[in-house]
Amino acid sequence: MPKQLISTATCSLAVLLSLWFLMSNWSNQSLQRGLQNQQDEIQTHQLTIQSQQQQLQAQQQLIDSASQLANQVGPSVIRDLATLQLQNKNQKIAILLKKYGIEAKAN
Amino acid sequence: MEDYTAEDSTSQSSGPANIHLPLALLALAFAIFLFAQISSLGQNGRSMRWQTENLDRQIGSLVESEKNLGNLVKQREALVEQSQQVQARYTEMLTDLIKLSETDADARAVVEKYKIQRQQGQQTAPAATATPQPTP
Repeated sequence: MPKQLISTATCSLAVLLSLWFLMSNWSNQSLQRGLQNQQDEIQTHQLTIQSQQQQLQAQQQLIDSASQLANQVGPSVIRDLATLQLQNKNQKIAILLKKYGIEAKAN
Repeated sequence: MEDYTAEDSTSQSSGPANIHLPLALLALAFAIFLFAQISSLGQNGRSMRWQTENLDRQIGSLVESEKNLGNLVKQREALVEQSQQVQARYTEMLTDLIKLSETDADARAVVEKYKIQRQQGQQTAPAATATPQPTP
């Protein structure tokens, strides 16, 4: 009779542990799916950020290019054109400058 | 005859007892195996929960960065528009200067000095964009 009891108890324990194992397995699979979803979400955010960084870079290039044109090259060209217009009394250049609101005057 | 009966009865009574013991041992071994597996699964579960928390923080940080970058892009839009206007104005003027340089020596001198030239392959601007280059 005690031997029967021992075998019944160990078999019951094994059955209970089997159920627990199944539950744990399902729980882990659910966690695994959650992790996968989070990784997908991270990838999406990273792609968006990459796109925004490219947009910022393009903006910066445009700003730098315009800044160089407006502060360095543009004024030098205009100054040279104005000088040539005054020196050679070049009316074509005077018209061109006037078209863009620039009027050269001798000091 | 009596001996035979006694032996027979002993073998009958020891039969079920012999089954119970191996069965109990087998179930115990299986229970131990399952317990080890459950422990391992528990450890994996804890590790995955930790990873989930970390990924949550990472997602939060990425969302914040995304928001900041979006704001920065919006903030720069006005400056970009202004830059585009400046660039368009200068491009128009330099294009006119290039045209004038075909007939005017002074204009040609300036164009050559600054190596102003039309960019190739600009489909959006048929007149082509003049790109000034600084003097070497």
